[in-house]
Amino acid sequence: MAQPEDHGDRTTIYRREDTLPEGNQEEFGHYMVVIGGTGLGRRLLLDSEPITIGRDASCDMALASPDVSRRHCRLHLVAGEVFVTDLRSTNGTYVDGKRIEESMLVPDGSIVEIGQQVLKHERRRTREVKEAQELDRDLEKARNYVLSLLPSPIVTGTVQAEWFIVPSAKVGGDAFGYGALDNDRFAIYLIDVSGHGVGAAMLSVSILNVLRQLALPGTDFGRPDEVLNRLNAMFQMENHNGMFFTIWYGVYNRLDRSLVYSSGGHHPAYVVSPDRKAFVPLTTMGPLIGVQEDKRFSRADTRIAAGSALHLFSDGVFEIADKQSRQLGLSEFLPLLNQPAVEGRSEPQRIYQTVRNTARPGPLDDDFSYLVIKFA
Amino acid sequence: MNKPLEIEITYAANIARVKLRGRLDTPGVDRVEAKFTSAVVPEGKNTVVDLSDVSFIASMGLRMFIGLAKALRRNNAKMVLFAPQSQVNEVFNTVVLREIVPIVVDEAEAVRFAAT
Repeated sequence: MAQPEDHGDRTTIYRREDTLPEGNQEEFGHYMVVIGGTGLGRRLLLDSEPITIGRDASCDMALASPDVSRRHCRLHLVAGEVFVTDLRSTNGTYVDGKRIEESMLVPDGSIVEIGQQVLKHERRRTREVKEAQELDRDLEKARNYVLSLLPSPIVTGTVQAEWFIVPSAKVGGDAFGYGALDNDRFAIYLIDVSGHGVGAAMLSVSILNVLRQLALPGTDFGRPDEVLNRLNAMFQMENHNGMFFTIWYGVYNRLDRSLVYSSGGHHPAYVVSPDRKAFVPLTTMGPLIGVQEDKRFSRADTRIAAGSALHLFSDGVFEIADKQSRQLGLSEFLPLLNQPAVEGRSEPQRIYQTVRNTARPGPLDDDFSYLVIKFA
Repeated sequence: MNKPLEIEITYAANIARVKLRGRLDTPGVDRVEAKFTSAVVPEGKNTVVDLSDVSFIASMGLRMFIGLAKALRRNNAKMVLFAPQSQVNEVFNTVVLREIVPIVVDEAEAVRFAAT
C-alpha cells in the first residue's frame, strides 16, 4: 500500500504505485485522471486491484468532503474494461452526468463524479503518459515559481489583503501584487497576459518583476496613468512574441482615503460597501497594453469609505460555462459581490467556491485570480 | 462538448468575406488562424468578418484579430468586424478594440467601411 501524502490540507490522497511498468512502453494502461477537486492532474493507474474511494482513511482515495460517503464507490478493471460500482453512497456516483444504480461501464474519455471530485478515464500508451508526467512536473515547477512571486496576505493593519488563485493549465498569464510605496500610499495591481501556458507566464513574470521592483525609469508609481504609459512603451507586442496584456492599477492614500487608478483593457474593479448592499465599478476604459505604441492612458479617482473592500479579479472568474454549457459573463457574476461572508472562508475563497459550484465539471477555462483589499 | 470553430471564406468585388461559427478560444484560433491569415494577408485583401455566430471570444481570439488587422494595414488593406453577439461585444468594449479594428452592426456597413 502506498504511503499517504500530506498535502497540508484536509484531503489526503492515497496514491497507488503509478510508476510505469517495465518492459513494453507501447502497452496501454487505464488511468483515472483528476480533472476537478483535490489533486488536479494526478493520474491513478488501474490494475488488477480495485480502487475504493470514500471519506474513510482506509480508502485508496480518501476524500475529506462531507458530500462523500465513508465508502463511496469502487473502480475496477474487468477484462480490459473499467467499471465503477456505487457502494450505496448517500449522494450517488455519477458517470457522464448520470447517477448510476449499482455498477456501470466507464468508457475511455468518460467522467466520474464523486461529490466535488471529478475523474476522467484515459486509456493511454504508457510511453505517452510518461512524457506527459515529465511535462507536468516541469509545468508544476513553473507554476510554483510564479506563485512564489505573489505577495503574502496582509492580515493586520488599516489595509489588509487576501487572495486566491487557480491557474487553468498548470501555469497561466495572470499575476497580481500590492505593497506600500511609502508610509502613506499603497499600490495594488492585477495583470492578465493574453493566452496561457508557459509563454504567457514568462511575460507575466517580467511585468510583475518590473512592478514589484519599481523598475520603470522616470516613473512616479503613485501615478497609475504614468505606470500604464511606461508599460505600454516597454511591452509592445511586436517585441514580445505577439503577446499583450490587460492591467488594473490603483494607489490608495490612507491620509485622505483616496484611490487613484487606471485600467488598460481590463474590466472594472469593484468597491463593495461595508454593508455589502452596493458596489461601484472602477475603470478608465483604457485599451490593451502593448498594442498601440502611441496610446496615452488616463486616470480617475474616488474616495474609499471605512469598511469598504476593493475586489480585483481576472476574467477567468466570470467567463465560465455552467453545467448546461451556457456561457456566463460579468453580469451573472456581479450579484456574488452582495452575498454575505462565509465563516471560515476568505472572501476570495467564498467567490471561488460559488464559481466552482456553478461551472461545468472539469478545470475552469481560464486562470481564476481574485484579490480583495479591505480598508479599515 | 463544444463544436469546433468553423471558418468559411468567400470573395466578392475584391473583398474577402469571412464567416466564423463557434467559440474563438485557444483551440478555435489554432484551428482557423493559419487559413484565415493566408487567405487575406499576402494579397492585402480588404476583409469583412461576420461574427453573428461567434458565441465567445478569449484573449487568443483578440490576439488573432489584432495581428490580422496590423498585418493587413501594412499591406494597405482593412479588416472590419460586424454583427458581434452581446457578450462578445462586451469584451470588445472592455478592451476598446474599436480603436484598432472597426466594428459595425451589419455586413452592408462593413463592406462600405472596408471599401473606403
